[in-house]
Amino acid sequence: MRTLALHQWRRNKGAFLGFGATILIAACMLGSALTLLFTVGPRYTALADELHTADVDIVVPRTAATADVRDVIDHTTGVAAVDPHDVLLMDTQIHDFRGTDFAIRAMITDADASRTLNQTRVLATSGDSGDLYVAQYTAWFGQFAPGDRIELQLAGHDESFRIAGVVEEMEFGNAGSQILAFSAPAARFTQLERAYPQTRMTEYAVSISAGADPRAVRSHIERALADAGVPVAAAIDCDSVRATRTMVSRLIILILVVFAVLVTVVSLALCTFHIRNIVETDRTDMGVLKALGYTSQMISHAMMAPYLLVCVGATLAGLALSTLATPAIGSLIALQAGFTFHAQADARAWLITIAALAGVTLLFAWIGVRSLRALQPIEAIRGISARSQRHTVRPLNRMPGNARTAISLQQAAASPSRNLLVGCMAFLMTLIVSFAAVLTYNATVKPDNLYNTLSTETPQVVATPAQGETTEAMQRIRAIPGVQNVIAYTTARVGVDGTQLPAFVSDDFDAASNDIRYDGNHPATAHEIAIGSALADAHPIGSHVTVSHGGTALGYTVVGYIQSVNDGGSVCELTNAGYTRLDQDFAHSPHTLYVYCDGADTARVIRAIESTCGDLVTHTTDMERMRDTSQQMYGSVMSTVSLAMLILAVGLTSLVLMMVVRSTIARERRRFGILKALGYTSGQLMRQIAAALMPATAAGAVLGALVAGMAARPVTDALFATVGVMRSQFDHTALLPIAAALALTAVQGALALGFATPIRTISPYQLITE
Amino acid sequence: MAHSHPPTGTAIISARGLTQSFRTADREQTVLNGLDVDIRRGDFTAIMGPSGAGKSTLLYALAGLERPTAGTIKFDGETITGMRDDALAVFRRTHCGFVFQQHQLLERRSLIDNVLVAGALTMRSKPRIAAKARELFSLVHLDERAQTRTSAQVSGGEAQRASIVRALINDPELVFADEPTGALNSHNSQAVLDVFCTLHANGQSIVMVTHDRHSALRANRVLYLRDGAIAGECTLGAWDGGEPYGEREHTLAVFLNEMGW
Ligand SMILES: Nc1ncnc2c1ncn2[C@@H]1O[C@H](COP(=O)(O)OP(=O)(O)O)[C@@H](O)[C@H]1O
Ligand SMILES: [Mg+2]
Repeated sequence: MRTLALHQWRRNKGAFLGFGATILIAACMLGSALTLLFTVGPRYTALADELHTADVDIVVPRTAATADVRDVIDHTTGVAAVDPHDVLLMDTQIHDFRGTDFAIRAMITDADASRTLNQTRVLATSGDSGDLYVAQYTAWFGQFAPGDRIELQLAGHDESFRIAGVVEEMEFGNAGSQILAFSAPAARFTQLERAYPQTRMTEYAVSISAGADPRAVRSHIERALADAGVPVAAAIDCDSVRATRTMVSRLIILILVVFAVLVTVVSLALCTFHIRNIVETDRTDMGVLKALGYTSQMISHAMMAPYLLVCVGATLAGLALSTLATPAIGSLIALQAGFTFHAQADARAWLITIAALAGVTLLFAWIGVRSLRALQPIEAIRGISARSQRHTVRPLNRMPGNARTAISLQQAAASPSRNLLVGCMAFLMTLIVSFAAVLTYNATVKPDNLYNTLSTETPQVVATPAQGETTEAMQRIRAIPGVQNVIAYTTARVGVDGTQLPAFVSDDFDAASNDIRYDGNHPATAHEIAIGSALADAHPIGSHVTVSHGGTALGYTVVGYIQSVNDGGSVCELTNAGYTRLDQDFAHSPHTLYVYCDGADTARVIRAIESTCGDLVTHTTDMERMRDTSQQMYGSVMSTVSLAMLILAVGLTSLVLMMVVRSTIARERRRFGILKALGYTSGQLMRQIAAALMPATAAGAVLGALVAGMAARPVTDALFATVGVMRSQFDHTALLPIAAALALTAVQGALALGFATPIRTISPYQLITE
Repeated sequence: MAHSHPPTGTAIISARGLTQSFRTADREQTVLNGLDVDIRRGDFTAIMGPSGAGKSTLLYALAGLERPTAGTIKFDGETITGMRDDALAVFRRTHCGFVFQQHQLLERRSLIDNVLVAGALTMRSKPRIAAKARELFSLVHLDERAQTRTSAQVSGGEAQRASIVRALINDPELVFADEPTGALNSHNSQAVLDVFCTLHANGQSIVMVTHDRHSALRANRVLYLRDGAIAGECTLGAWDGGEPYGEREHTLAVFLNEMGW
């Protein structure tokens, strides 16, 4: 049996190498995915435990943070311990955060105060002094280092700091919580407290008792505080934070698993196809072996053994390769999630990968050799008569077209198993390429599609008028050449169902450029509200919802739903009059103006705003620059992902075609020799081989394009839904799948032609004398 | 036949200084050694010689299936030695027909499809090839039922006759046959040889390698290959229907005797 297996190996080295290569890729992907799956989560938990990260955090303005508040929190069911701290919470713009201005709320804490919950650990310091500690996310993702200067616009005023160090922080240490943590040494903290008294708050870090649900506890506390008339500036729980912080890692793991499965399917299809081929060509030999006394089992084991060995070997090699890939992917995850993570090999991941791949290989190899069992020795020895009767190809006169077309079609119809393999391949690859094309198109050719799907309204310029000058400023800015429109669009904060959330306040939602409404209408009257997707389940359109602000709570009618990925769907829209009902001072407090000047030079428009209404506008922000930067980032990520998909698709296609064409040439050497003797040229035979694969390829590609055309929208919508997108703004033009199908068919044709070149070396004379 | 050939008797092939040697792992073997030969149009030429003398090698070289080591071969005045692979393929399809010792038909395809595959080399229309094939099949006495079977489903003789049809489908100027009856019993051999005689009577030029004197008797010219060269030739008259102990048989016997057969 050893010699039999060795014989298999020697005769089919190429096939085993191809099979091994795909298994290697699959093992690398699957191994990486499982390693990450098994290590990212535990690492997160370990860090959160080590730093005693709070389960719930409630931030209340200092003026409202009375002993009663503490009392309410202490008495909420599920609360185990409370650790209150003085903090500053305010809207911030971080300048030059990865090359752009990054707007987020900042929570500044006193670095020298001791705390039992939400502790931090210093990862790097500037050595000498500095006056601001930043979270790891800010340092790595925003590209800041200890000792660097960092410019923050705090509540509208520019402040400059020197970074004293980088800290690990598991609650507010990442944009996922919508609040980014900073801490300043005691002296600087006190100075900031004095400079921005209206931003002074108390942070109640809460740990909950075992078995309690952080989300439920947070919600209970928020409701209790709302009932007591206490305004809440922010409330978060560790589960939601964890979900947003590990989103990218879950997405990466999902993608890796999907692709690993795809590659495995291809390699298994190859394995079955190849074994069947051998069984067919070596039928006589196997019949002789059976006649000599070998059992079916011995022969099939000898056939399967090399595959199993190659599978295990390639899997180990792939896993070894994954030890190089996982740290790279791990650092990407760490960068986005903002915590220290060094991926390390994981025994469970390895074992599962080996077991899974070896298991399916055995199964499919067994399917391949099954037909051996039925083989009667005498039937095989007596030769092809019985078999060839069954396997006669369709006669030429039943084929359409002229003689050559008919011959090509006859060849195409000759091998159903090959057609199935090539067709499935073309189908899968068209799907992948179409999907990649849709992603690239909407991220690079029409970058607004992806950007608008993920973000809320973004004009080219945001201008903040001085108090009471909104109308005048609006008129003057409208007159600036290149400005298409100006609308008043202010983001306030209100409470709904005990959750603090952003409220977009405007009377011109229909004039906005990014339609974030996915159902119903925008609010039009003082009593109407449109709410974010996170609130949609609890509040059907037409129902009443209570909105609170400060001590006021009023009812509104839900007229529509809007989406906002950044806010996790927790947002709402109110009219000016609607918001004024909650906040009588709104008319006198700062508004923001959204300035639309698409196509014009935003820097020039900003200069024009500053010169024509210098006294009316306190500051301006160039949003176009931010949009460009993030679009470039999305664009490059998406095109990298698409390129990887494309490489994978073309690589797998080449591999499968190489196997198919090679086995065709090997199996039909005699036929090609005879045809050459009759006067067929190598070119004609190569074209014949390529043409024989075309009907299956074209059928698979067309089917793939059809399915892609129908499924691209639901699939991207479903993918986006996992991050909270309710209405994707992707264009799904039918041209993309069609182009993908055409391109793939052309590439497969060219590859098949290329792989058929060894036919040149077949000499007609040798074959006939053989 | 459809071609308008130059008059019979002129040389269709003339080979000069033909040398063929093979290098195997341990030694170099010269099979043809500066051989000169002319094949004349309209002749049924038989090539005889001891086993291993290089008869097949000579035939394949003349037919453009293999390149000689040295020497030139002119076919209708056109030098085929030195042609590239593709040019040789085009040469074979337009000028040559082949019948091998084993029928060398394609597996899993009917006899008629085998013929169509060859016909497709020079003709596009399927019905046209089929019509021509029907004519040729009737010449070799293969009925329609046999035509739709595969080579594995018919007798060796029937398969060989189908391969003759395949050889003729493109109106070759010259049919090459390498021991076409070598694998057949005597009944089937007679049938195949009868076909060759009919073809020859219709003006077809044929070159046939054989080591069987009864087969050679069907030719009108016999060449004897020995020691890498043509050792001698003899001309027999036209085939007389196989009259036993006739003039032709006597002439051939004397010739072969001279050659040391
Ligand atoms: N491709 C080849 N490589 C090496 N030797 C060959 C090759 N073809 C033929 N020969 C040798 O040339 C000699 C003549 O072969 P062949 O022409 O088949 O003889 P014949 O047909 O007269 O019996 C033989 O000894 C054979 O071994
Ligand atoms: Mg021979």
